Amino acid sequence: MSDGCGGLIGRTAEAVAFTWEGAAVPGGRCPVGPVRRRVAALSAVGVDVAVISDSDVPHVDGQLRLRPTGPGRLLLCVNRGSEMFEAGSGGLGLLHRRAGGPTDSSDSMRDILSFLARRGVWPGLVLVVGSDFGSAGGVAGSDSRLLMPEAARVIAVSVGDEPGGVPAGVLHVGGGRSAFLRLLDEQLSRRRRGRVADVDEDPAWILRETGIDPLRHRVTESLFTLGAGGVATRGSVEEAVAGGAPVVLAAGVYDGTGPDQHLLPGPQWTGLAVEPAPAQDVRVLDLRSGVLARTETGAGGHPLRSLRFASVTSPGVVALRAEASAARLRPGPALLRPRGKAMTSGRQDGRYWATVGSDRGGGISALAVQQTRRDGLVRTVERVAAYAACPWRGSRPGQVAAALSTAGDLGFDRLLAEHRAAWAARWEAVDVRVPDDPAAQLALRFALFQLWCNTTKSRAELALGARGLSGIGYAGHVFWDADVFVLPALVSIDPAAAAAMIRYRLRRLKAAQAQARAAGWRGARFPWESAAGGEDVTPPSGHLGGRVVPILTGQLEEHVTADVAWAAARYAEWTARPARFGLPLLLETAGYWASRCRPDDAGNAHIDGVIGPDEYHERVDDNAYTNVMARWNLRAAADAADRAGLTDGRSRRWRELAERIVDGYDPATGRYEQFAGYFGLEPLLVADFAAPPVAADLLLGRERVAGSQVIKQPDVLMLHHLVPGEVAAGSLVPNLDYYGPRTAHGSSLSPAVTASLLARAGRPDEALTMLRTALALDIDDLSGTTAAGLHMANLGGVWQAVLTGFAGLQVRAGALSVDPRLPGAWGSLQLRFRCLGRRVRLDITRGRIEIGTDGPLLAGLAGEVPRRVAGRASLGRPG
Amino acid sequence: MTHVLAVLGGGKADVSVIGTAAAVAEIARAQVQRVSPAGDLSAQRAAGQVLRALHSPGTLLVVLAGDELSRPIWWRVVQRSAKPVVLVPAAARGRRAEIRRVLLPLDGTAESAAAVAETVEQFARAGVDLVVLHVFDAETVPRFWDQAAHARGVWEDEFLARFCAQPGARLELRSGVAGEHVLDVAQAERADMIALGWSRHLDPGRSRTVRRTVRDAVVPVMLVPMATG
Repeated sequence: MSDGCGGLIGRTAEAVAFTWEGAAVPGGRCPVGPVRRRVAALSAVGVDVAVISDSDVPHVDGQLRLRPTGPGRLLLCVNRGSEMFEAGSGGLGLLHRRAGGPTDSSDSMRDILSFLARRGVWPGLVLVVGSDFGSAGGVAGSDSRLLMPEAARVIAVSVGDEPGGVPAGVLHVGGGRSAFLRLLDEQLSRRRRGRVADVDEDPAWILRETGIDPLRHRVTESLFTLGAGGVATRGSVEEAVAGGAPVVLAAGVYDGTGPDQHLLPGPQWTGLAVEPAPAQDVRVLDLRSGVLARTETGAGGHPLRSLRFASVTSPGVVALRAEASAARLRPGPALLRPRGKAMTSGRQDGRYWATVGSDRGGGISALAVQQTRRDGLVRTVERVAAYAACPWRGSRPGQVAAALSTAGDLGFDRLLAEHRAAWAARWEAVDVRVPDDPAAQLALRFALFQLWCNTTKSRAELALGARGLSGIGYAGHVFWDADVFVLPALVSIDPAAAAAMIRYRLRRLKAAQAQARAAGWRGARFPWESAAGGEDVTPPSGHLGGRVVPILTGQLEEHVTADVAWAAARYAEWTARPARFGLPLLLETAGYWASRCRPDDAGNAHIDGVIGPDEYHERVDDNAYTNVMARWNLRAAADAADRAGLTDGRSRRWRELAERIVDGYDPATGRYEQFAGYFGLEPLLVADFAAPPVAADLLLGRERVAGSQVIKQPDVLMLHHLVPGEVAAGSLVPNLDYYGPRTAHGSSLSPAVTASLLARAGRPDEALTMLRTALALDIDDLSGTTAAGLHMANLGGVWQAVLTGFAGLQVRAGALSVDPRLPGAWGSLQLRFRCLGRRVRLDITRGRIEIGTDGPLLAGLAGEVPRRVAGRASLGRPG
Repeated sequence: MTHVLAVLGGGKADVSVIGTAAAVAEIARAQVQRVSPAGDLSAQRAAGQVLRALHSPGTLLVVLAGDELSRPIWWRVVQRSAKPVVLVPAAARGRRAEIRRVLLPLDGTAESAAAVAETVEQFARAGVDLVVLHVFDAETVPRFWDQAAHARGVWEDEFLARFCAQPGARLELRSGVAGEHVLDVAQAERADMIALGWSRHLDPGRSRTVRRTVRDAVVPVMLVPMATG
């Protein structure tokens, strides 16, 4: 197990737990001083230490006599597992006491792991040292109690004689107390020499990529993106490789003009010279801790290892540690020029600085420090960089210097420890557990992880492009994906980030008003594709496979205007935040629809010449989605205007107009006609020519698809997803039955929403099949384009599918309602999310629904009068 | 020293076969070695003679007439050769034998890309213009094509990165039946050669693109056997 650098285990632990009587002071006869000095030193370098003893606290504390000042914490777990104390600069404090019933050291271990988990230190990062793990005479060793199921993956080491051998998973080094001291010394040495930290490879929390598959290379770069504070780094390997596409992107910082506007690549900070480059490796994205780790495999000697993270606690700060044989690893410059863009850079006072400027006046600046150390034949490199990005200002040396200084004061290990703890806190508040479906659970956690990676500082605006910050695909342009797919997810994950998305639209309201005016309308018309300024940046032409086609979405896909308003309303609804935050969006978009609708002689109102979410049919009249969303927009704005005390008569006119907008609904069939004339098109079903999902327009050609009833994605059905109150009661099933077989799912937005709709229609097993497609979309690269970045709308969509689809969550009038539909394969579903200013936990089983909140909340089952709940409560049985 | 084998039959095709072999040899930095199976040999024995010469370690590939008259020979060679075979169709006679642009139909599988990878690299090193053709059919059509304004760029970048990561290589996309597009695109692009990976599966319904291309091409066609064949 030794790594050849004189160590016993060759791994870096974040916490050490040991038996006092067995490992540290066997028989109570050894001097305590050497243990005390090492424990103090470990604490000083940030390692948590837990002492496990059968004795009482006066005995252990009296011997150890230590009050470390941290940052590592010292725990005394005494009295055969019944008590846990913390010894620190404030004295000795009781953390936990078990009353009643027998306890043993396994209880101590549980308390330790629980304590460490809150700090983001998971079992695989805990070194457990004992002396009696093995059986003797058929009796299990006393320390075997430390290895209960929750302690799976701890680094268990025995320094005892162990005449009967040790259980599987325990490393027997023997050597008694002197070996124990050497184990502590090894951890101290690894810390001081900057050795790369481990990750806890809990299969419920990691994405693991083995080998170097050139077909997956760029896909994993996207999957392994790490981001925080509005800056993200693709998960490229450290060395330069053919076909690699490393990039650092910052939210909202664009380069170029018009449709060519794209996210600006920033200075790169992860590059290292490794020669020869690894031929094989294992890369692990630890979702629970927010770190990306890499270990070279198949190489003798000292393999390349690295670990990096984008600090959650110091947004904009990123850090990397790497190690390999000194002959192979050279750090090189800490900041490198991004591909295809000029960079000004230099070195001053031992720091590397670099700035990449955009031709819009903005830029991304970085400042980095790096340190190399040796541990025998191993060279370690530690690099910490701070980024600052601004859409309209270039170099920001002051901001990055301050951030780097703060990070430098903390040091890499503490920065990492705080980062881990912050991720632990995130998962404590927001998570999903599907015990019967570990694969779905992991993929959902991946979606949550990457949504978090795309959030930004709370007060900033957030321009969230179709691929987020995980790649340059779709140029970082902001579509309705952000408003309708991502925001409803983020509002339950990180409401501040959702607010930042609203702010992005609010700050571009003037541009939207100008766009409406330019088209001869009033109010505000938001662009189909938006970037820095808020003007429409939709390219005028594109490709359908090999065929050049005019792009009409910028001119005709007007529903985005109502989608922006819907997002503002959804945010207000889920956060219980005063609606005035997004009020201008609601009012101005309603103003747009009021002018945009065409009255006919019969008094009906129409919206002509649009493209609905189903983009296979262009320039259609009375698209049901557009019309009903416009109707919803008018009504919502009228209500908001009344609440705001606006007495200029707008609300009355808007309500009257809303009543007159045609929606294509046929009460006889319960169906909405997707647009005027749709029912007269060729009645082609997707099953007639392909298995969905399929890009039907590529396969059949644009004209054939346009002349048929095949649609790209839910259009009418999006109404049932977004505004169920605006569609006829009971119309979900007939429309699902009708449009489902006609939907090609040729848009990556489609599967997740369809999963949600199927669940709401009481078909959770079909919903789960569709959800699996959505969950695999990026992880298995179903589109062949994940290399260009993750599909953010799909990531938001799958979380929505679970919340609103399977769990049936709705927020109306300040109350949360629950109406679960679990697939047969799921015996239970546990959700943690944010809603109405509370942290909410739902435990859904077939027999009951339990809720937990951190404060009073109005909640209940769908169809029942909500009641005030606080703490844990049962909501009753699922319907 | 490596060789490009030119199979001569003493007929009208010989000039174009030698010219094509010389052009290929220049790219491969090899020499042309002529083979002339005796005229009285059966097609089976003539093909056997070519295959034996082709089997020689220094021989890179073989160029032979791909016309209908020679079909009994070249079809046997094509089926049995583990090395690339260049067929010069009758329609290519009289064309200049330079190879400045090559059309690479790729079906988007690692196998077909791997089959032609070495050849492609040689072409690229020699400065040959590479045009990759991919045809979306019922089996290869992408599942998703989100926004036509952007989808092609991201799809194309990744396709080339995976299957033909050569500087300057460009991608032509078509929808329909692959075999129907290869010849049209070759003509539209003024390709001097078509290079195809092929599985050597001759069961009904297989290798339709190869069969059609070989049958109707007006430029030399290089068939590169797949390793799994």
